[in-house]
Amino acid sequence: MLASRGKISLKQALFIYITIFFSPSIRFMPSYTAIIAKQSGYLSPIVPFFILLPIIILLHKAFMKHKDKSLIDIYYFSLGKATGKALLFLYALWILLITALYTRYYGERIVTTVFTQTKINIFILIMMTMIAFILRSGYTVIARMNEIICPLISIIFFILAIFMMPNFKINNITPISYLDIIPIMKAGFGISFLWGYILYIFLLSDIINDKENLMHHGIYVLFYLTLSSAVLIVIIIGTLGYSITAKIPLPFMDAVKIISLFDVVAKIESIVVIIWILSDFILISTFFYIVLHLLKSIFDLKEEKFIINILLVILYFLSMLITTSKIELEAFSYTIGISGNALFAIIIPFIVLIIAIVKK
Amino acid sequence: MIPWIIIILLLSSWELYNMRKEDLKKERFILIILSLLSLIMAYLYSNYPYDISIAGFSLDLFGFPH
Repeated sequence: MLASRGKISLKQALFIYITIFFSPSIRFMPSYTAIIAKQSGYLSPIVPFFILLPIIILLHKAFMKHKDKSLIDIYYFSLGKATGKALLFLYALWILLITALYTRYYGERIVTTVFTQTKINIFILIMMTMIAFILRSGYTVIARMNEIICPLISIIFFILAIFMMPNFKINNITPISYLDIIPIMKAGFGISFLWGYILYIFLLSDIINDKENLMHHGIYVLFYLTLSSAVLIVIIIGTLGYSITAKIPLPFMDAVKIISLFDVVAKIESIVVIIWILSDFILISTFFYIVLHLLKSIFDLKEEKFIINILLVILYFLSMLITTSKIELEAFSYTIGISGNALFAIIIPFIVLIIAIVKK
Repeated sequence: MIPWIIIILLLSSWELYNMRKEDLKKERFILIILSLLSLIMAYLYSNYPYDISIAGFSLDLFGFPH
């Protein structure tokens, strides 16, 4: 019934948030926290929980105060139409850029793990073609697909975490003292942008129903992501040690590679590639749809489906031109990527939502 | 370059054809702008595939080492 009206439920939106979180978190979080917080890195996901909690509360209050408005309308209400449109245009450019970044990461990951002899642009073109076909039927199709993908990814992730337990060494995650508080906080601030993606999803709030339950469900999801992130980091640092985790590009993949249960369950890293691709598909298609949605609002378009194909061509070229090497791509993610996401997903929304709540 | 020009022109023409029955002037304008942008990007990618790096340019701009 929701799909027929082109809307998705809050539950579907939060499921998308969980799936989107998976791909960048398993690539970025273990090595980043291991570099900064070393053996205590697994405690750093507690910090983003407390950074994002006020954002969830403010979002909920803003939606309660402006019941008939979407988040985009709340931006216009807070900043004025012209400034709001200018800011949302920057949002569209930024989200398009990080979508290109994630598209490139998706391609790089496949050609460095499974198809080492194949050109990267083939996989990116396949992804673009799939998104073009599916998005023409509406975003609800992706939300419905994700209702299967999200639990699948979560179940596989926790099963893999259990399988890694025999290689887990408690010495790798100890000792911990009060001297670790500052590095934990630093690492926590660095990874909190991943939690901030909830704000990008709520840029689609005019197609999301049941927003009155956001506080309740949002806090549950934040708690789940904090817990699963802590499990992810503890299991990888506990298996590989923080010094190895900090140095290798895909620590989760390497931790899965050493899984061996009675010589029966082994070489199961291809499962990780599959769930990673599924998560990337949801991430790239969702961010792309958010860009489309923003452009529709900024330019007051009646229909956005006519620009899907041509915008995907632009996304393809952006992902090919974004970098010439993987090292540069990671340098960009670790510096400008973190700062930009912190600005657009945490700092600006915080200010805008406070204005929206206070302003009469 | 030539295959990309053909693909972009075909996609744009098809979308313009789909729009013909509706009053979608702004959409047409945006589509044409995006098509021109994609042609420029196709030119850049075809002629300088290993010279242009948006990430490298941004890192230099903000003074981050890489």
